[in-house]
Amino acid sequence: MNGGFELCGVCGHALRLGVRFCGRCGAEQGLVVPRDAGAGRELREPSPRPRKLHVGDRGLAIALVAYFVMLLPSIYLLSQGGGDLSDALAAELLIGAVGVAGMMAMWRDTLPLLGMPKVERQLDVVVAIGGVTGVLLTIYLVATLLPSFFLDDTLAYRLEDKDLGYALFHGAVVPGIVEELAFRGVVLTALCGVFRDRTAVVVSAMLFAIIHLTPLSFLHLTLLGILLGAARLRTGSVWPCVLIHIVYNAIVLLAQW
Amino acid sequence: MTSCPKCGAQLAMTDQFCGSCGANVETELQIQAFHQPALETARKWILAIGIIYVVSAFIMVAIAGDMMLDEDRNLLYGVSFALCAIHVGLWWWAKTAPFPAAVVALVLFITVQLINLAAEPSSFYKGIVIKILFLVALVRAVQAGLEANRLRGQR
Repeated sequence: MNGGFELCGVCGHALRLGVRFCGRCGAEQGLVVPRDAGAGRELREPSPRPRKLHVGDRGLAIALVAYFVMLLPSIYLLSQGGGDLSDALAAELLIGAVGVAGMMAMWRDTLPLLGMPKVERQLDVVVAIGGVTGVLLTIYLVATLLPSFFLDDTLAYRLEDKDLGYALFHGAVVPGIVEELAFRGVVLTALCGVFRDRTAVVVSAMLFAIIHLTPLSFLHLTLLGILLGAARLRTGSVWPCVLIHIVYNAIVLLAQW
Repeated sequence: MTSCPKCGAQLAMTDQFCGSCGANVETELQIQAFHQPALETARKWILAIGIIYVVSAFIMVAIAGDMMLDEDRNLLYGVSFALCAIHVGLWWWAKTAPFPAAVVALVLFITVQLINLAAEPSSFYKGIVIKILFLVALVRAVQAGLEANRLRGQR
């Protein structure tokens, strides 16, 4: 073009060849047609611009408050030596209450999440199924390598003489719905106000793993959390996450029943 | 020629923005001077705490190991090594993303302390100085990360 230089499409500043941003005005090059655009000049795909959320910086505080409110009943149960099934259900319902309250507090950002999911690429479904299989394999690996640390999830139901249907409702359907509303609905949305989308998914997945209070299952719970967070961002809805979570919990219960 | 404080690409002296990553050079210099140190301190603390978990598990077993059941000792080692592994992971992640890593480390730390408080209230004051120093370092890192985001006008 002009002897090794290009001109900024916005301010006309002379740029070295190949730079993406103008050194004077900071505009990203290739998004707008430059003043002296030659024929056949290729325009680059714009970098994805993050959607602006209404929560903004308050998101961090909202996410942390929601997390610690959900943590307290687990800590209380721990200090009381575990608690029984009805205590566990009460703790799940509190998580659900946090989810509903948080989603109402951020209703402008969370209302679209209750709509129908949009699957733009068929491949995403394959990735989701493959991801769940991968997480299950990770658990299997941990359970095989460290059998003494592995807790039997079905023990609590068998101690109280409950049947499989009750266990599936109590251990898969309820947690699937309330934890997804709370984590993918509230915590992830709030964190998206502070972090970029991908970072927010990883952070919310780690919080999801930490709140289970079992350091040895941190790895597979983080993987599951990332999968669920990605599903929520891809489809713009929490329902696919609810489905994945219920199926995942149900498989884990059935495998041990 | 100078280089970009954010990505290290070469810049002309007159450039106000980096041609490679688009960062505002003045803002990045300000962040590097005032906010980066807190984030880097927190990163070192994250590694230190991870090591402390394992070391304190060994010390506890050395002192009271005779009175412990094999099961309890294995659980103590398992949990400590898992926590250490998580912290090493966070330390590694903090090289590229110090702010989110500091948030996760802060939440993990408070959670572990609450569990300790519920399970064994007497252990709360053990190593209280280190606990407070770690807490302060992480809170400062989170503040610095928030402030840096605000300066960059991004999330």
